[in-house]
Amino acid sequence: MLERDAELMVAGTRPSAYAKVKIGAKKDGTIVAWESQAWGSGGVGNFSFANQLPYVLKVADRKEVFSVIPTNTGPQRAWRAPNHPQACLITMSAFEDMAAKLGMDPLDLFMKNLPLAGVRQNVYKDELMKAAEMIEWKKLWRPRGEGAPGSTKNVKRGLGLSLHTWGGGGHASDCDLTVHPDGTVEIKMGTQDLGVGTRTVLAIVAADTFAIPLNQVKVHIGDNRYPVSGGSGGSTTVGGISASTRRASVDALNMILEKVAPTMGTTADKLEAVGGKIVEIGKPTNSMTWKQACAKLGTQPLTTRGKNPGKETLTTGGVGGVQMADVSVDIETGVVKMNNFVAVQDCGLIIDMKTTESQVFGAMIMGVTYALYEERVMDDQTGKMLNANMEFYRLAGLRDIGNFKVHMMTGKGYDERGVIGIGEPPTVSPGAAISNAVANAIGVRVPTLPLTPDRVLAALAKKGGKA
Amino acid sequence: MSSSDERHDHAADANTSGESAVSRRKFLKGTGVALTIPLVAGGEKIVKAAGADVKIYGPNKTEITLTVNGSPKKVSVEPRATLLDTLRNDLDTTGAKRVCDRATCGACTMIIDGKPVYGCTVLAIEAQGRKIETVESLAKGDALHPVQQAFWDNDAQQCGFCTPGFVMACKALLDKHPSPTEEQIEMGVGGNLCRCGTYHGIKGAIAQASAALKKGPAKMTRGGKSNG
Amino acid sequence: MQNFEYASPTTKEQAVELLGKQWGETEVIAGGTDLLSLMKDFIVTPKRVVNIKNIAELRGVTINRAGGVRIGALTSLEEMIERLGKGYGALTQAAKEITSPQIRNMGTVGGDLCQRPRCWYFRAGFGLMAKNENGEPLVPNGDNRYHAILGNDGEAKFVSASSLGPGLIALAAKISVFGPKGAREIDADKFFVAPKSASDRETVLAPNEIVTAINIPSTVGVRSATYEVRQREALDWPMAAASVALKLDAAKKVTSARIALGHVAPTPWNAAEAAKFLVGKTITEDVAAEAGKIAVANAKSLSRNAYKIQLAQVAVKRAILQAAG
Ligand SMILES: Cc1cc2nc3c(=O)[nH]c(=O)nc-3n(C[C@H](O)[C@H](O)[C@H](O)COP(=O)(O)OP(=O)(O)OC[C@H]3O[C@@H](n4cnc5c(N)ncnc54)[C@H](O)[C@@H]3O)c2cc1C
Ligand code: FES
Ligand code: FES
Repeated sequence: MLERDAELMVAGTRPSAYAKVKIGAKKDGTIVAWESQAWGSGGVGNFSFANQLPYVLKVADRKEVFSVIPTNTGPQRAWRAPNHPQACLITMSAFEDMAAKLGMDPLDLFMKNLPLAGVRQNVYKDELMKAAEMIEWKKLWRPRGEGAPGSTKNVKRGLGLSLHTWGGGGHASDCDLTVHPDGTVEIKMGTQDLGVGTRTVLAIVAADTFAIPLNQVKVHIGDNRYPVSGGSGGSTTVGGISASTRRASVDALNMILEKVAPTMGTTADKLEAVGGKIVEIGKPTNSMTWKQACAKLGTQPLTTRGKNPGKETLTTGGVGGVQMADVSVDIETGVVKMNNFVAVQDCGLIIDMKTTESQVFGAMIMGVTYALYEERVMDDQTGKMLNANMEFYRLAGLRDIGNFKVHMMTGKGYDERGVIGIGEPPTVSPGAAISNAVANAIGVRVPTLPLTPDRVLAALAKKGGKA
Repeated sequence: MSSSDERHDHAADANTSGESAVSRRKFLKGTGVALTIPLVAGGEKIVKAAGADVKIYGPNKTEITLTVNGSPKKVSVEPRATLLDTLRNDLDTTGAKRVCDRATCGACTMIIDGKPVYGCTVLAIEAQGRKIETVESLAKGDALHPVQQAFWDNDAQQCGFCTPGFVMACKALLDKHPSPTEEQIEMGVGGNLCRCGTYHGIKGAIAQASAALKKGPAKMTRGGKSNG
Repeated sequence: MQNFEYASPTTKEQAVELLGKQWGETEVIAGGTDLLSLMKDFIVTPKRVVNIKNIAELRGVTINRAGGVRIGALTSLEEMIERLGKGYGALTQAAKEITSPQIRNMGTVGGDLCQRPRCWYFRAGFGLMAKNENGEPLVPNGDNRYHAILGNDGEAKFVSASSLGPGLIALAAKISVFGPKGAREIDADKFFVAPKSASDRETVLAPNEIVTAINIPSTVGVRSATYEVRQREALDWPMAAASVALKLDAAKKVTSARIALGHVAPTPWNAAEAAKFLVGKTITEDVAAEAGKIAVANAKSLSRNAYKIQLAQVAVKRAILQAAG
C-alpha cells in the first residue's frame, strides 16, 4: 500500500495534451471544418491519443495531427477515462469559442451540431434539454463576458457546458452461485470492489432474481481462489459481473423451479419467484415459500456457474452525458468558485440508483479537482516532483465543490440496452464544462487546466485587464 | 522502525545535494553536536535542569500506558513513534488510516479529550493520560453509531480510506454543534479530504446523523433509493 | 523520522536548559503539527525534542487592566478564536481561515509564529536557501510560483508561512521570549528575520530561547481585519494576505494605520509606506486601492510569480475596506 507521496511519484500520471485548433463554421453555427495540431506527454514511453479529436462531434472535413513527446518523468497511467477529458476539453472549448465568436448561445450551437454525434444524437438532445432545465440555462446564460445574473464589479458569474461519451460494455466474468438448502445464497467471483458498489450490485442481482431479501445473499469476491472475472477498469466491471451473476442466478432458479414443479402440480415454465415465494403464474394461491423450495434440494447445495459473455445480450456499451457548470470568478484574484454543477447521464439499465449516482457525484468532484487544482509540479533542474504531498497537490474539499445535481436517464430507450458501466463517463466533461463557464464569465479563454489564479489573471491581462 | 521510515532514510541518505542532507551526514558522524547532557542509549534517565530533576525518555523504547477507547493499554514505544502508528502497529487498532502522515488529509482523525486531532501528528508518548477515541469506539456490537449509520445510508464512502477519519470528524462536529449550520459543517469537516469524491453523501450523512442523534437510533434502510 | 530523546519539563527555566546552543541539536515541540512533518521528511533531525506543553505558565488568555491581552504561547488556534473578541479581527480572521479544526485544535499560537517555511525546495531537502549540489540556487530558475515578491533580494526566496504574524504586526503586538539570560520582549515586527544562511532560522530566537506569550496592546478604537487570497477553502495556505489595523476619528478620517502582508516575503512584511498614506484620509475604494499599490511598489517578481503582486495589492485593498467598513 503506497502512502500519498509515493503514490503521486510512482503510480503514474494522466498524460498531458495540448492543441492548436482551427474550426470553420457557417453563420448559423454549423461547424463544417476541423483542423487540430495536438501534442502531449505521457512521461517515458508512448501512449495513444489518436482518433479522439474532434471528440464526440465528428466534423466530417477534418485533419488531425497528434505528436507524442516522451519526457524523463514517470510513466503515464490510465486515469479514469484515459484521454477523454483531454480530447473533450480541446473539442468543447473550440466549439464554445466559435459560439462566442458568432455571438450565439453555445446551447443552440451544440444543439445545431448534434448530427455530428452520430447514432446517439437524440440522447444528447434529451440530455442537453434536461441539463439546461436543471441549471436554468435559458434564464441565467449571458453572452461571453457580460456576466450572468449575480455578477458584481469584481466577481463574474458564467455558465458552460460539455458533452462526452464512453464505452462501458461488460468484461469477461465467471460467477459461481450456490443456493443452500436453507434458502441462503452465496456468490463467489474474483473481481474486487474498489468501493464503487460491486458487492451491492452482485447481491441485488441475485436477490432480485430469486425475489428474496438482500441479506439472504452473501458475496465473496476479490480472491484468486474464486472464478476468474475481470478487474475494475474501463467502466467494464458492472456489465460483466452483473451479467454472469444474472445468468448463474437464472440457471439456479430454473433448476429449483424444475425441482418444485411436480410438488406444486405444474411445470417449471408456469412458475415464477415473487416476494420470497415460488408462485404459479396467474394463480397466486398455488405457492411455496423460497425456504420450502430450497429445502427440496435435500442435503446438497446447488451450484451454478454463470459466464459473460453469454447467449443473450445483457450488457452493451456506448453512453452519452451532458454536464453544465455555473461558476463565479473573482477577476481581481483569479480565484474560481463552483456555484452549481449539473450532470445528466445515461448508462443503460441501472441496477442500483444510489451507488450509480455516487459514481457520478464522485466523478464530478474529481472533475472539479482536476479542472481547478490538480497538477503535478516537476522541477526541471533536479527532476524532482515538488508537490508530492497533499498541500500543494491540491484536492477539492467539501467547501470547494458547490451544489451538485445528477439526473440519470432511465426508462424506455435506456433500460432495454442492458447494463453499462458508469465509473468513467461523468469524469470526462468537468474540465471542459468548467473551462467554458470561466470563459463565459470573464470573456476570455484560460487556455490551460487547472484554472489557477495565475492563469486566470494572465488570460485577463492578455485581454486587457477588463472583463 | 516501520517500512516508511526506512524509505525516508534511504531518501535522505541518497540525497547528497541538499544542505539538510549534508548537515545530517555530518550529524550522523557526530561532529555537529555538543549537548550539555551526554546521550546514552537506553530507556529513561534523570537529568538536572534549573535545579530540578527532569526525566529524559529514549531514544530507546519506554513503556507507556494509553487509554484507548476506554481501556488502558501498555505498550513500549520509542519517543518518535506517532500515536497513529502505535495504535495501528502495536495495539491492533487499525480504524484510523495513514494516508499522508503529514497533517494534511484527515484520514487519521481521532478524538482526544473530546477534540478532533490528527493521530499521525501526535507522539504516542504525549498521549499518555488522555482519552483517545477512534472509530472503533462507535459501534456497540452490531448497532452502528448514528454517524456511521448515516454514512451507510447516504453511501458516503467509496474506497473507505478517508471514512474513519471523516466519521470521527463528523462525530466531533455534532458533539460540539448538535444542529450545525452550513458554515459549521464546512468548518467542522474542513480538515478532511476525500479522493473518491464522497462529499455529497457526507453532507447528507451529517444532516441525517444530526437529526438521528436528537431522536435516538436511526433505522437501517436498503441502499436503493436516490441520493437526491 | 530519526529517533531522539525526549524531555517534558514543567518550567520555562528547565526547558531552556534542556535546549541546545546550536540550531539543529534540539527542537521545541508544541502542537507538533509542523515539527513532526519536518522530522518525518528529515528536514530537521534533532537529537533531543523538548516538549513545552507541560509548562503551565505558557497557557491561557488573559485580558489585562489596560485593556491589552496576553496570549500564552501554548494557546491553541481554536482557543484563541474563541477567547478573543471583536477588536482582534486581524488575528481571529487569519486563524479561522485555517479551515482544519484538527490543526486549529493542535496548532499553538507560538508554533504558528515559529513554523518553518513551506517552500517546496526546502521541504524536499534542498535546504532553506534551496541550492543544488553545486551550491547554485534553485528558486530563480525553478518553479517559484509561490515564492517571495518582496524582500527577495537576498538568498532567502521562501515566504513566511505564518498567518498570525501579519495580524500581530498590524496590532502592534510584542512577543515575550524566555532564554538563559531571562525574559525579553520583542516587537512583532522585529521578531521575524530573513535568514542569511541555511543554518539560521526565520526569527530572532536563539536556539535555546522559547516564545512564552504574545502581548497585544489595547484594541479600544482599533478596527482590524485580515484578507487572505486562498485558491481553495480546504486545507490550504494563502497565496497572499494582508492584515490591517486602523484608528478613525469622529469624521471617519484615519488617525493611525498599520498594514502587514503575509505569504509574500521571507518575513511578514510591514507595509509602512502604505499605512502612512492612509493617515488623514477617509477610506474609499480608491484610497484603499492606492494603498494596495503603494504596498507592492517595491515588489519584484521572480520568473513565475508576478501574479502574486496583484494578489497582494488586492489583499491590502480588501483588508482596508473590511477594517474600515
Ligand atoms: C494543511 C495545513 C495548512 C495550514 N495552513 C496554515 C495557514 O493557512 N496559515 C498558518 O499560519 N498556518 C497554517 N498551518 C500551520 C499551522 O498553523 C502550524 O503548523 C501550527 O500553528 C504550528 O503550531 P504547533 O504548536 O503545532 O507547532 P510545532 O509543530 O510544535 O512547532 C513548529 C515550530 O515552532 C517551534 N516552536 C513551537 N512553539 C514554540 C515556542 N513556544 N517557542 C519557540 N519555538 C517554538 C518548534 O520548534 C518548531 O520548529 C497549516 C498547517 C497545515 C498542516
Ligand atoms: S494521515 Fe494524518 S492527516 Fe493524513
Ligand atoms: S472514500 Fe475513497 S478517499 Fe474517501
